[in-house]
Amino acid sequence: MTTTIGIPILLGILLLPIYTVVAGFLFGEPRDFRTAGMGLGIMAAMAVFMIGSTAMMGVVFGLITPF
Amino acid sequence: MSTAKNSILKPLSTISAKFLALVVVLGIAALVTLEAILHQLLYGLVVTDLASWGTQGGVTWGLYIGTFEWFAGMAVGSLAAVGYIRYKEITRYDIIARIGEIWALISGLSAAYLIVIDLGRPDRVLNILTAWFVTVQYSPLAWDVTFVTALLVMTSTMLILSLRRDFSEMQLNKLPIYTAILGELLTLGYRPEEREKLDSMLRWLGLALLILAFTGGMVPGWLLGVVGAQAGWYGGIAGISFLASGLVSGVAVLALTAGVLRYVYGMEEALPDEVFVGLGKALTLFGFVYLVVLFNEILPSIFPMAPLAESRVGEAMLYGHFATDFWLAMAALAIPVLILAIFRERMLASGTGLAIVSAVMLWGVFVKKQLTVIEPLMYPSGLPYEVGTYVPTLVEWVISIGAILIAILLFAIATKLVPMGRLLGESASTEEVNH
Repeated sequence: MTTTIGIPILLGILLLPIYTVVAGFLFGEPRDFRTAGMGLGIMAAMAVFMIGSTAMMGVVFGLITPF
Repeated sequence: MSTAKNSILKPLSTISAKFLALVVVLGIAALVTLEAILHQLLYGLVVTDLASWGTQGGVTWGLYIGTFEWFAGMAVGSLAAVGYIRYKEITRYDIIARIGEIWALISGLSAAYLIVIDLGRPDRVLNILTAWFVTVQYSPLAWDVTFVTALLVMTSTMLILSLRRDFSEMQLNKLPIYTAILGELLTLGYRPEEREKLDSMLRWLGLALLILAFTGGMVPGWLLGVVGAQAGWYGGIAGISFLASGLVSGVAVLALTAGVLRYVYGMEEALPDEVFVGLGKALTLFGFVYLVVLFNEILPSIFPMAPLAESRVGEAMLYGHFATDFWLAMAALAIPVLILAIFRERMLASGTGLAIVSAVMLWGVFVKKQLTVIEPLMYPSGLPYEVGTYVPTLVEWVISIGAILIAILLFAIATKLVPMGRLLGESASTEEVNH
């Protein structure tokens, strides 16, 4: 069971705020898909930036670590 | 422009000699921390006092993870406060929301960095990313990485969108040049008709941050709570305990920062007494709840019917080697709660009193976090190992305390880059009265 508990936790708990934001931005009043798209675009860009910068940090640490 | 408007922009427009001195001191501390990090990268975790559980008589997690738990809790608490203020659109707490956005981001980054620095080979953070699709199916560590990433992404989005709204109400040419450039960038393509939608999006994002704080915000507690082999960690209350401590430290850091800003910049109009009274009431409630949770966490381990391994940890916590630290931490939480409950408005009015008790409570949570992580690891259960020892090395102290000083440096710089709130117009003032 330990190999399957993560999926409901990921999809049912951890991603709950993301569902809220996507639904709220797109379908919340007033409807304005341009501004909503911009907001979601910023969030996607931040996700790429955060994950990308962590990966970069790993690469830089790898260059410093001699072993 | 009213006094309140002026005082909101005051941190932006003044750079005093004292501020520069603070930046220099904290900058030197940051350089020393960087040197300690390089030292650890070159020689590995052997420069710490971390060692294997049981066979080496050590602890596998020490100051880094204790400080990570403290920062992660502070991020959760700040996140909850920001979410509540933005979702309910409580205009008079707007500065607190901005302070919270910045602190949640800085605390999240500090927490993430401390996880990485605790890895035996920090470059293997790449493995965490590439193996995520598999590990997230069973590993609380992968859930924690997911939570911290979500926290960073959503907090930075909140900061960007709320700044877009705030900058759109300001005359950018009257701001310092670097703030004006940031304002131009964040208001790129702004149209007045998007304003209503932007307000709605900030409310939705506020709700999402609240959900994140009260759901994902339990994950760092689960890191300990699911470890069945470790007495003192295992148990169903770990997630709740983490959340409760986070709400205390999150609100405390906001109250402390607000108190300092009001004192240094004379922001009495923008940060009125009622804001501090509200923060003080929240801190009293969260502090009391945390103490109740801690009592529930500890009682089963010191009751005569406790399993042997549990009672060893429980008794060590209350009467053992670190008992003085434990009781001091408890006093640092309980006494401020009592003072806040008894003196209330009189105590909170100026902001200074609340800032002092907030600092004491932050210290109390910090010590308790360290003990929660470290002390149980010294008592391996199930096998006849000796009681472990752990004395953090200078490198560990420098990196951990350095993380706190770097966080303060980043916040100090942020106060000179971004406005601390909105310029409230007539409509906002009316709205404020209605709340």
